[in-house]
Amino acid sequence: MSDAFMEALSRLDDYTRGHGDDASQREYEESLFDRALAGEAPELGFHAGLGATLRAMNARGTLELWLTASQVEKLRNSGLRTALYELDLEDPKPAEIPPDAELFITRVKLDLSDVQRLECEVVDDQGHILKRMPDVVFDATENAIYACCEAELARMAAASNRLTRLWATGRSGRRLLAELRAL
Amino acid sequence: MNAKSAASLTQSTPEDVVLRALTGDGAAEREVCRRLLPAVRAFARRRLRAASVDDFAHDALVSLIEAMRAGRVAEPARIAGFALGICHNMARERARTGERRRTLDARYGVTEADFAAWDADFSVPREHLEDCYSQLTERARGVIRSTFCDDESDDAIARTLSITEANVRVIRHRSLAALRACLEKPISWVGA
Repeated sequence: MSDAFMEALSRLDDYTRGHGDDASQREYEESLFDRALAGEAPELGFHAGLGATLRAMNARGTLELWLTASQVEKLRNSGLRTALYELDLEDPKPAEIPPDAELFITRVKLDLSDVQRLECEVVDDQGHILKRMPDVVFDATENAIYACCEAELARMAAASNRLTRLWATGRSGRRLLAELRAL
Repeated sequence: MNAKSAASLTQSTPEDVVLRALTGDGAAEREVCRRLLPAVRAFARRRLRAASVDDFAHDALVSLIEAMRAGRVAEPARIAGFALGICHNMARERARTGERRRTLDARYGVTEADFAAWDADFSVPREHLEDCYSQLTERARGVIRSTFCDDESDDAIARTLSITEANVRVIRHRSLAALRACLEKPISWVGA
């Protein structure tokens, strides 16, 4: 990804968000339309595609991976085919994802008392971090977290060899709350 | 139009496409529209509520085809500027009736199905975006969600998140960069 692309994307973002007065945007608009016609404005395609997919995911209820119990309830009543998997840390079993499931929701029971912040990281079997999710949404009174994703993504994840670690930050500092083979 | 000629148009220079469009070549007209659609949308997004953007883009591109067929595009090399002029005029006079729109639709035939097909060129896979979006901080997710899904102004986002408007802008620019960088790489699980 080039700096020029990012500069163009930021410039386009400012433009679409209405920053700057219209008179000062005239030159930019002319250049934008010329570049669009010439197929030389890749930031336009990225911005449009990203926005469309974000809106589609939001309308579907799958934009946020981490949910609370009440959000899960709402999603399960939305008409989408959801599969709820209870991950028991004492006796973890591989997840079964029904072939017709559209969304896959994992519930993990955890002691969340004294937890102010939750982070999640996914590592491969060599210990390399594949993914870090800095702010896991949770409701401490539920003593459980819910992870929801497109069933297709869950199938890909289930086929990979990875470990998920949950880190909790509370009054006593940061500690490893759980380490899971599935999630 | 067969797939070969469509691909050839996609790779043609803007000058060739415009000249063909001005001779009444329907496929070239549509190619001009396909190329300009994202810019017209950006123009509309700057000025209108999100729900009105596609209607505006539709009307602008239909008017462009109408102008091309009527021989009103005097300088082919300036057709992008001509399209921008249409957008400015429409932004000033948005009182178009549904009947006129239906008439133009029937005559020139740029439909919502065309928009969907053209948008497919820019599609971002849901699974991949889900993987990338979840790696943003809660605040960054809030800015992106409020911007793209809730159509909130930067001022409203700033108030909700108790930050300044300038911060909203910086967070959004950084988040867009992070999403772009993440989407250019394989999905996290691949290779694990």
